Amino acid sequence: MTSPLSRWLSPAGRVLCAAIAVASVATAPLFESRIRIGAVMMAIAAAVVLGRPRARWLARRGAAAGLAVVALVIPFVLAGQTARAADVAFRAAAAIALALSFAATLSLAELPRALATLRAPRALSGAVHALLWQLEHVGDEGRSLLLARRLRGARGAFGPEVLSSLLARTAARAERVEVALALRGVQTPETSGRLSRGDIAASVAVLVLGIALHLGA
Amino acid sequence: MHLADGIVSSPAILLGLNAAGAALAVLAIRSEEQSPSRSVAFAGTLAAFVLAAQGLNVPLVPGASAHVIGAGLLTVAVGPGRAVLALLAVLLVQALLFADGGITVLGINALNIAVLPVLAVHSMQKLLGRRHVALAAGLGTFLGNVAGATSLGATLVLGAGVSAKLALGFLIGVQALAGVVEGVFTAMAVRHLAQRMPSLIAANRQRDPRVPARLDRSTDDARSSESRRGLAWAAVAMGIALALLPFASATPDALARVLEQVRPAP
Repeated sequence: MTSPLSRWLSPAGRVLCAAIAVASVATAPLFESRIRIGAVMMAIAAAVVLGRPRARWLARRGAAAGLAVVALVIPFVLAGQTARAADVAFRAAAAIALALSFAATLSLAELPRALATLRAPRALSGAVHALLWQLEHVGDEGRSLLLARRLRGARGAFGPEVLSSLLARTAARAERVEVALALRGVQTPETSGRLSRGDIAASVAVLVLGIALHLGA
Repeated sequence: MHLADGIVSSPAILLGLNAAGAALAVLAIRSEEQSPSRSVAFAGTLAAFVLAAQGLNVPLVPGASAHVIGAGLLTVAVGPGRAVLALLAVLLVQALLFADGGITVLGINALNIAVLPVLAVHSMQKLLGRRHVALAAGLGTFLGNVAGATSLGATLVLGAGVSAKLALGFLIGVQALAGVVEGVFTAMAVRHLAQRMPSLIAANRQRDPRVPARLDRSTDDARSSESRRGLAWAAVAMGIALALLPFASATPDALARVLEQVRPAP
């Protein structure tokens, strides 16, 4: 079932709202005021309800991102700044929860279009397009390499030759992709589309709420 | 190590460091000899290799494993410009689709995970020459990890008020260990490549005759003026960050304090 966010906003609108929401929460002095903490919790709840991320996906991605936050908070704890550590950890966790709620509404195919609409550098949106287009094929190559290795009787951890073989195969694929695009006359993706009025209104609303979060007591 | 959102909360530091990271990344990408449109699909496909390779875990000790980033292998195989572009694409996808690495710190992550490791490997290649490409890749990977950790530690000290000794000591220690493992792995992988497919090593390839000279943007004059422009922008960005530093504070209420000062009194 598509989420309300997916129905109301275009992919570019969702990326823009996500960036504004995450930036607002990531730079706000949350622990200074209970009202701010409550407002952020409500924003996260709203994002989860409107984004409808799958629970298992959210838990898995959240745990992976959370580990990185724990590693970065350790210097605060070692310095005895536990209150500061809690503040940083809460802010980071809130930002991750918001980012994941929006990320759950974006499919692989939608991201390159969103970047092109937002006028991201063409080289970057083109590289992202090629990445997402080829990801499954390259993943299949990697799996077939590991399977072939097991079928030849190898056991245990794989060696660096698997990585170099995968790189060689991927480079050959990259050459073929490049030639195919050149033969079709396709260069980097053109900038496409514009933000709709709904996207702009939603982005402005999120921006206003973000500023209120900073200014409110 | 990816920096997450919310760890560095000072908008001034975020703006300055992100701008500097982005400027250096653009500089590294434009330093390549290939035409830009030719690089994009190639770099994007290789970015898929980076994501796929990061899914392959290398056991360290029983019960613990690590994953390679791939900057060293990429740099050796395709050169620094394409390697940085590929890694940037990976960082963007990870931040927007998986919340792995922050959206507000993309420029900083680009500096620590793409630019510095790639430049370290490329510098080692230039220093040690073609004959020692595996050693250059291994050493460069290790140094790149340490450089990235140092930059991340400096970011935490400047932007989050962490004690320098702890931030740098902890991060550099952890990343140095990971760098040793990844460096050895990368060196072995590059040696395997050099033995079986030497044509895949970028330094061994001639300039591609399929790219017409008029599309090749790398005349010496154009490249050096672009390099000067890029360095100038990076310097401006860092200057802005340093000029704003007195207004930035490790404590979370810096922006609120500045806004209170500029709002008219009731």
